[in-house]
Amino acid sequence: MRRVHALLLVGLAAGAASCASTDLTGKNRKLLEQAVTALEQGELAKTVALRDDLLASTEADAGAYRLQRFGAAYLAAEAHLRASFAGAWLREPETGTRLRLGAGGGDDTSPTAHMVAAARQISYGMDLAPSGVSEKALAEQLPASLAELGVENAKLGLSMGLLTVYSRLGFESKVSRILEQNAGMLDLASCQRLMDAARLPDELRPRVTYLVFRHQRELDERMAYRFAVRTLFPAAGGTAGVERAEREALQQWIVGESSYVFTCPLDGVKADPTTPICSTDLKTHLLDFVASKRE
Amino acid sequence: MNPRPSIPRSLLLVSFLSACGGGASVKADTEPPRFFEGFPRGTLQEMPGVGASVYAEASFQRRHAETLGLDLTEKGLLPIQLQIGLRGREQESAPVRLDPDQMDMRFYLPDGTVLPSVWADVAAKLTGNDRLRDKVRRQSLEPGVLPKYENASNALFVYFQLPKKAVVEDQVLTLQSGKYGQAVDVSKGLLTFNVMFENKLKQFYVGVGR
Repeated sequence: MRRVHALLLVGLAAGAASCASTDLTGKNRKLLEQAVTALEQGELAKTVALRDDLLASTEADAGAYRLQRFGAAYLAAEAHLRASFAGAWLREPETGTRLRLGAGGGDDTSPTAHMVAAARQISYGMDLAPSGVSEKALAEQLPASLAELGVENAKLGLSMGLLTVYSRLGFESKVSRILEQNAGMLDLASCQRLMDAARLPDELRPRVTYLVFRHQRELDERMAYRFAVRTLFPAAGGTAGVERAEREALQQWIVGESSYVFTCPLDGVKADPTTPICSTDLKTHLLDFVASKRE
Repeated sequence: MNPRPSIPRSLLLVSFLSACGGGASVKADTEPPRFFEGFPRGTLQEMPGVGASVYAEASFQRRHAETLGLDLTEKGLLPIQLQIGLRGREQESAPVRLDPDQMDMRFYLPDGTVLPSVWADVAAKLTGNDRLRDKVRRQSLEPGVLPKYENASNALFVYFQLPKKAVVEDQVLTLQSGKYGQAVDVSKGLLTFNVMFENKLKQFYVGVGR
């Protein structure tokens, strides 16, 4: 029986090797281009399905297509992360009460399922991320937008995505650890540069800035203020990634809980966190307000 | 970092068979990823205004048959062990409980498939004999008022309905997901349920270790 097994395996391996000899680079690149387009058009389930197509067709010779498999995992991770905010297609079973994230209104789609699936795709991406990839290889194997992003920036985006997943599920110790390991995220200007470099989707950015606010609140209140303002008034997109109660807590902190008072440098009016600009001069952004110790 | 889980032999065979992309059993993922360590398997959550916190730990024991007397994955159920109780100053009197009608327990597989829970009675009936039935019932978690964590029984089982044709070997579960097969690591899944206190519900998330 053991010999039959061995012969079967040898035969199958030979067969697999022969069909793996076809170069799939061009075909994979087209799949990735379709996945990028699907993601841009909000066809999130299609993005993940294309990732599955690519991984299934390259499974027999995974090492040869590592960069393209990485690209596919990256795109699928982004699709699941975005679906956890809007456009979910994974569903909850038709039982039980409705206390789950985003559940309600007769909608059985599951943001939680997408967060869990995103963690898995992020993990595949991190496993597959190659190092020392040449510009030529990037250009040949990946669609232009992914090639421009590059492997390191894509990894950064995956880390930020995992941060949002941990946070939304309440695993705070994991959040703190990731932030402590990424000092560049603790300054607003630098954090925004990193989010831009990683092309973090707009949906995820308020969650990231909110998490840094909470981290900095204990360490540097003036910087925490800047993150609070950016969370309440993102540069682009809405604040769907931050719960209403969390937004109210931010406003409360700015107005009364911080040990600083934040005032407009032009007219001295205190920050009103319900509006992004000074309520008197109607032009100075809250980010430009100055801090003084609360008496 | 967790060691890489061993790849079930059946899965290797299937992946070889499907290497050229034909057939319905083609796998998109023949082994689970490694980077992600899984969600924390122990979770402490404060109950606002109660003066106590709920602590829970969950795990998937691939050798659960040694405790239950049979491998329930072969009967279409995924057993997860859960130890849950209260910690904190007011834990003696805190009225925190698992309400059978409200706890809404479910298990998220790493690919996003959501498994509904089934009652211990269902699992017990699947055993097919009285001795094992009693054993499964004794080893199952009963809803009710939560004890102090130190006094909580050893981890007891809760059960989830596996998808059709799912196969579990070690902690790797293979299932059809979309048009492809997927290999997922059960220990990277997520258990959720609601606890009730003062007529309010609070959702609880806990990772599943091994």
